[in-house]
Amino acid sequence: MYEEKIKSAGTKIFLSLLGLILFFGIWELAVDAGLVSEKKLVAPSAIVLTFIDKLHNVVPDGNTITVHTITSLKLVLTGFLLSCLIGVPLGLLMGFFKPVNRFFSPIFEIVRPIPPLAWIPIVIVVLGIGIQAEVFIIFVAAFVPCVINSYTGIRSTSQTLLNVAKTAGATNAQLFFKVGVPSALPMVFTGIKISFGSAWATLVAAEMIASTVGLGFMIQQGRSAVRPDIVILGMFVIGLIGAVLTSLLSILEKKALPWRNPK
Amino acid sequence: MNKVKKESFYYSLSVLSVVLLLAGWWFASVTNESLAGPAEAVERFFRLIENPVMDKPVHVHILASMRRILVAFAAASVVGVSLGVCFGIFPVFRRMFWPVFCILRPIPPLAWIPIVILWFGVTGDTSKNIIIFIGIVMAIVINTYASIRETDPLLLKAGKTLGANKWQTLVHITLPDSIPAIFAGMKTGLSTGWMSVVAAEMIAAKEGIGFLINMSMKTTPDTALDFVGIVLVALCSSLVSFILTVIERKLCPWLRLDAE
Repeated sequence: MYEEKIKSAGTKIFLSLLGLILFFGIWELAVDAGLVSEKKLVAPSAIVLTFIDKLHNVVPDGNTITVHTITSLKLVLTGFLLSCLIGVPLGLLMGFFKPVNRFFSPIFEIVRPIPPLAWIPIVIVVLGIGIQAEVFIIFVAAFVPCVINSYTGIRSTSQTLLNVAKTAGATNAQLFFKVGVPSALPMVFTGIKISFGSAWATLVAAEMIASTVGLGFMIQQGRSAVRPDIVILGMFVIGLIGAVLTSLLSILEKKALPWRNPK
Repeated sequence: MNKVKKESFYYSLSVLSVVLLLAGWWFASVTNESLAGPAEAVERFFRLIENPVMDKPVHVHILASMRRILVAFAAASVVGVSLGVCFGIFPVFRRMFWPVFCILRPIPPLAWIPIVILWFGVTGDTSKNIIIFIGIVMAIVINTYASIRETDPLLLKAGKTLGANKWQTLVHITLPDSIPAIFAGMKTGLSTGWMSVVAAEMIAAKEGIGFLINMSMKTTPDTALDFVGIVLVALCSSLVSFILTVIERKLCPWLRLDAE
């Protein structure tokens, strides 16, 4: 019923371009014609100029956009990798071994509903303002989806496969590593991707609340200085980096799970 | 007998873990003066009822956050489902605006805070509602769109055979078939939504649970207040998602039959 009715590839590309041109065109014209105040919105062309300027200009937030970007990237990757290293094995073990599940799931269920940002006041008291505090908050944000997806993934291991392996005389460790873990991998990857999104979003917010450098800090300063160009530039850079890293994870997923894409 | 023994062993493991968690928290609070322990957090809650923060009793803060999330949720549901349906059933619309949506989608809702404040000001609820709206709406659009595209072809063919027109197909087949996925999107959206509530209220608000959490960072750290805020957010979000689950069960009775 709803299958593609537009057959020609040319029409498809034309429509997509038309949508983008309409979006940016209306935006550009609305600003140039003075329909929106320059204090609220600047034209896309001006944002490109701001980007070039921000590569060497440190006003108003004390650093160039390159420094902000690298700082944010380092923090997000540290927290995210830590949470994958701890969260994925924990989720897998919880899903496969009942005693592990009974021990960790109450703690996990208590910690899970806490919004990551609500940790900030406690973390500042315990770890002080600094890199450790920010890494911890990102870790917490990324940890939950890693555990939940690894847990669900290994729980849905086909019972038939497990029985076959048992009949063939597999030990518990072999069942876990040779049957459980591989069959959980697709869900694990989904969890890792969700984790990254959550880590990235949390980092931006954490930088807005308690930091002096980073992309989140940059857009927050842009607001205080009433520089919508810097704010919107920052939003696009944040979105772009998020999209690029997520697609890198998808590529990694395809490489790691060749049996998932027979084409 | 063996089974009973095993069950009680598992049970004691769960109890042990909670006890260890509380003990660890208590120990941390003893070694660090500014960190509140479990008992202080409970005591702080009762003090909060008697001693309002910013002259507003605790229920005003709770209601402020609840009002914001419900307004944003209602708006996001209407807009999100309509957009998702349009993407799903109008190929021209999808071709034109999906790329634009894909540019905006990876921007985290919290990164919208500064620009929304520039546009709508710090005071008033408009900017907060819009930020929470952005947090909720994305997941609803994506889930609605995906589930409409994946409507069971057998159902669509059956409808066609019975002579359903486009509108009837949408209202009687596609939409009901998509309800579970739409609700899943709403639940995902709500959890992002609560995060946005906390963030928006921490950055710019004079009331709300996020505001309470932010107050706990001022001058002398009041971590007990933060713990109270955390528990309040957790309770409110579970309450909202519980209500949503009840509504979902009423709307799709066939799901319950499947489960049984």
